[in-house]
Amino acid sequence: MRKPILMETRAIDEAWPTKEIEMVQTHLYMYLSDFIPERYGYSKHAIMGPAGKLLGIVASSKFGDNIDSYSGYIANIHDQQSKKPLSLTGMDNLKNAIAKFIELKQNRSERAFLKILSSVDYGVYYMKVKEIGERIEAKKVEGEKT
Amino acid sequence: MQTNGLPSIDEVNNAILEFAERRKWHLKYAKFNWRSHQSLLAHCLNVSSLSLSILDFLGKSNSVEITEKLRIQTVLTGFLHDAGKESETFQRAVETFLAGKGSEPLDFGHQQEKDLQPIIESFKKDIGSKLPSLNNLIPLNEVIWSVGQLGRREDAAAISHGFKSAPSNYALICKEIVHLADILMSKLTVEDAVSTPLDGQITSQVRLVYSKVSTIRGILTHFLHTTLESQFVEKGYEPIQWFPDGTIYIGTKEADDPIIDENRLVESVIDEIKEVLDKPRARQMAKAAFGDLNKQVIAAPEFLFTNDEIIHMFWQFRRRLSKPNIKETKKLTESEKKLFKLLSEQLKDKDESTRLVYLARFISDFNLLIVLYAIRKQLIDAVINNKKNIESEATKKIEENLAKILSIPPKSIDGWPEIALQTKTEKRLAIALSLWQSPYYDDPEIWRDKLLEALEKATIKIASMWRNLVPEKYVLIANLLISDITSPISPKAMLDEVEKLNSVITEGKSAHGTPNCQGCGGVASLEAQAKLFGQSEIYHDQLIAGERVGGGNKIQVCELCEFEEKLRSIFLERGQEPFNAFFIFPQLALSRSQQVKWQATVNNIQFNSGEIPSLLRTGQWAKKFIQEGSSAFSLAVSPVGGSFFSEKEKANAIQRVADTYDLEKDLSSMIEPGLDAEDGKTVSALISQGKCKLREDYEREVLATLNQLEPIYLSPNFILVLTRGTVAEKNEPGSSAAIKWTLFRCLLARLFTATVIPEEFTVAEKVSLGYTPLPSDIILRTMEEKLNARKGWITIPELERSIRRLSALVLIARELSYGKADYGRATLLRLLKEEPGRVLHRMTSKTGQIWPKKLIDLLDTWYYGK
Repeated sequence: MRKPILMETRAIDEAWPTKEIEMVQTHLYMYLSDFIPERYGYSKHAIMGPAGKLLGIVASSKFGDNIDSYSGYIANIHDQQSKKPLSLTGMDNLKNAIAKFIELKQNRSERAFLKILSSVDYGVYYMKVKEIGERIEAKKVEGEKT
Repeated sequence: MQTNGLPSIDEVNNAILEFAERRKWHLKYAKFNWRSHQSLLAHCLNVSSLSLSILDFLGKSNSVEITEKLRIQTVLTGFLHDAGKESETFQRAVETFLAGKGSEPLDFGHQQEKDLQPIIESFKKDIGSKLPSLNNLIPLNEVIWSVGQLGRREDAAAISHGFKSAPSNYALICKEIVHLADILMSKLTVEDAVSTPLDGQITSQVRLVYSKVSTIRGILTHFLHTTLESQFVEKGYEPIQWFPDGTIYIGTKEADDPIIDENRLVESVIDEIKEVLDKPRARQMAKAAFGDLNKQVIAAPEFLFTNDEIIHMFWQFRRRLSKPNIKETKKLTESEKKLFKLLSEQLKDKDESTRLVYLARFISDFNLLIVLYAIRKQLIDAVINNKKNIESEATKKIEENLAKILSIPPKSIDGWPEIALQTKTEKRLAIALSLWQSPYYDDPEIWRDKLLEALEKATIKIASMWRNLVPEKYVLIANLLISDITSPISPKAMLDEVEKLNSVITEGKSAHGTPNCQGCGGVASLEAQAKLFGQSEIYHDQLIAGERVGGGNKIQVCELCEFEEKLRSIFLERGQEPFNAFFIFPQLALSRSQQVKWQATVNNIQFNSGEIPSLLRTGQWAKKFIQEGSSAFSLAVSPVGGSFFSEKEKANAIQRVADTYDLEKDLSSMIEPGLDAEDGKTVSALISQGKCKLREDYEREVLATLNQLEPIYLSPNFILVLTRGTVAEKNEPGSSAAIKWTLFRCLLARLFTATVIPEEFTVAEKVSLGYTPLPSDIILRTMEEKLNARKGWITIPELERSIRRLSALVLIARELSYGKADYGRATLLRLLKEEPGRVLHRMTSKTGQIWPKKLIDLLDTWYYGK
C-alpha cells in the first residue's frame, strides 16, 4: 500500500497575525537603518541586505530556535557588507524581529509560516523602497534649491 | 407673494446643499435601524423640503397664512433640525451601536442649543456671504428655538422664558410642521408614515393617505406610480413624499376617501404606455420588435404592429442588416455550397462570379422572407380561434402583395414551401425561380426597393388583421399591472384577485407544481428567452461550484416581467438589451426638492458633454477622484484641458447617430448651418473649428451615445438606470468587472445621495444599510474587508473612502498595465490579495524603475487607506 499523505489541518482555522507581522516588519525595517551597503543597488536583494538573508535561514531553521545564533550570523554579514557598523539599537531591533519570528514559527503551521515570511519579506521591501524614494525626492528638492 | 428682498427658495436650497456637502453630511448618520440607514444630508434636505410642501398645502387650504419669510424659515428649520447630529460624539455613538457594542444614542441628545449654536454660527457666516439678505431678515435664533422644541410636549411659552421673549407665531408654526415632517421622513414604509398622529394645532387640519404597489418592476411600476398619482391629484390630494413602492399624499381633513376607479386606471396606464412609447421612440420600437433569425425572429409583435410608421422603420432597419454578402466559392459554408450547386444548375449560361452574386442576393432575399413569415406566425400564434382560416388568409394576403408588387406570376408562388430558417435547401429553389421571374430582378437596386415595398405592404395587411383579431397587448398589460396595487384597493377587487390566484394555483396542481416568475416571484405564464433577461444560463454564485441550473436557454416569467424587459430595450439606442440595470432608491423616502435634484443629476449624467467622464469610464473617474477628491462630483466644474470625450469618440458617436437615421454620406441635416459633411469625423472637425454646431435633437442623441447611460425617471419614486455599455474590458472575468461595477455604483450613490442597488439584488426595497451592497462573490471577500463593509454594505461614513480605495485599485491595475507588469485579464482580482511589496517588486523588476512614486502612492491608498 502506498504511504498515506498526511496533511496539516491547522492552517484552515488560523487567524492571520497582522499585528505580529507588522511588528516584525517594523523591527527589521528599523534594523536596516544601520545598514549602508558598500555599493548601492536597487534590486530587491540589494535593498533587503542582511534582512533578506535572515528570512531565508529562519525559513530553513538553520539554527533552530536560537535567537543569538541568528543574530550573530546576521551581524557577521552586516560587518562584511555595511559601511556603518551595527549599533546597539540596531542589534536590539534585529533580536526583537528574530524573537517574534521564532514565536510565530512555533505557533503556526509550516504552510502559514511560509506565507507570513513572504508577507514580512515584501512588507519590509515596500517600506524600504518608499524610504529610498523619499530620500531621492528630498535630494532633488534640495538640489533645486541650491 | 411679497418677497421683500428675500432670496428665492431655490437659492436657499442651493445654499443649504452646499453647506451640508462641505460639512460632509452625506457621510454622517441621521437615521439608523436594523434595516434602513439614512445620511444626515438626505434626511435634513428631505425634512426641509417636506416641511415646505406641508406648509404650502396648509396655505392653499387656508389653514395658515403664508409669507415668503415663513416659507424660508420653515426650510431653514427643517434643514437645521438635526444639525446637532453632525457631532463626532453622536456619530461615534451610532457606530458603536451599529457594531453591537453600545446602546442606541438618545434621539433628543443632539437638539440642545449648545450643540446647535456653533453650527448655526458657521451657517450664518456661510450663508451671509452667499445670501446676505437672509441673515438680516430671518431670525435664526427662532430656528434654534423651534429645533430645540421638536417632539417635546412642554409648554412652549414656558420654555421660551429662557429666551426672554415669547416665541413668534412663525417659530411655533415651524416647530409643528417640521416635527411632523421629521417623523414622516423617519418612517420605513408608507403604512407607518400615514399612521403618524396628526394631533397638532395646525397639522390636525390635514389627513394623510397613501398608494402602494407590491412589486417594483421598473418602467411598468413607473407607469403605475404616475397614473395613481394623477388620480389622487384629481381627488384633491397632493403627493408630498415618495417611497420606492408608494407615495404619501396630503389632503384636507374633510377630503373624501381616495377610491380609485379601476377602469379609469387601466385607461390611464394604457395612455401612459402609449404616451411614453409611441411618439418619440418609433425607431427603437421597430428595432426592439426584431429578435434573432436563429431564435424568436419577432420578439415583440405588439411593438411592430403599433402603427405603419413603425412597420416602415422596421423594414428599413432590416434592409440595412441584410445586404447581400458576395463570397468567393471557397469561403461558402456547407449549406451555401449546396444551394449554390442547385442554383448553378439553373444558371448554366452565367459565369461563376455572376452565379455567386445571384446566390448572395437570394440568401439575403430569403432571410427577409423568413422575417415576413415570422410576422405571420406571430399573428397565427396570437389568435385564439380559427387559426387555420387566419393562416390561409394571412398567407393569401402576403402572396397577393408579393405577386402584385414584384410582378411575379401568382401561380409560381403557389409552389413555395413553408418559409422558415429550417426550410430545406432543395425546397428553396422554387422560391428563387419564382423571384427571378420578376421584371425588376435585373436591377439589384430597383429589386431591393420593390421587395421591401412588398414586404412592408404585406406587413401592414397582417398588422390590420392583428388589430382586429388580437386583444390589445397594452390593455392586457394594464389589467395585469393594476393587480400590483396593494393600496388603495376596493374590497371587490381584492376578492377578485384572491379568486384569480386560487384558480391559478388549482390549475397548477400538476406534477410540475405552479411555476414561479424568475423576475418577480409571481405566477409564471411564459417561457422567455434567457437572453432577454441578460443571462444565457440561470447561474448564481450561491450554487455549488461549477454547478448550473439546467433546462435549456429559457426561463419562466410572468407576462408583466416579460413586457418589462421588452420595454427596457425600447429605451436603449438600438433596441438592444441593457448590459446592466440598477435601481436608485431614496434613503427611506424622497421629497420634492430632492426629486428636482435627482432630475437635474439624471440630465447631467445622461447628456453630459464632457465636463465629467461618462460614468462607465471608471478609470477616468478613478483618476479624477484621486486628483480632486470630493470636488470631483461638482458637476459644474469644467475639466482642465477640455472635454473628457476625445475627438475620435465624438466623431464615432456622431456617425452612430447618423447611421441610426440612415443619413448616408450626407450629415448636413445634423448641423446648423447645414454645411457639407459626409461623415462623423467631418462633422466633429467642423464643430471643433467652431464652424457649426449640432442641432439640438441630434446633440442630445450624440451625448446620450457618448455617455452610454439610460436613466429612466418617469415617476419620482425611484430611478431605473440601464447601461448601454459595460465597465469591463474585453474578456475581463465577471468577478473582476464586479469590482468596477462596485465603483460605478458608489459613484452613482454619491451623485444622487441615494441607495444604488443592482437589479439582481432581490431584497432591494426591504433593506438599505448604506449606499450600495457589495457582491456576494467569495473571491471578492478581501474587497469587503478593505472597504470596511458592514453586513455586505458600503456604509454611509465609508462611501468616499471606498470610492478612493477602489479608484486606487483601478489605477494600480492601469499602472501595471502601462508597465507591462500586469497579471493579465484578472489583474484586479490578483491585486485584491497581493502584498503591496510584491506588486511593487513586480513593477520595478519589469520596468527597471527605481521608485515608481505614483504606484506607491496608489498602493498606500488601496492597502492602507492613506
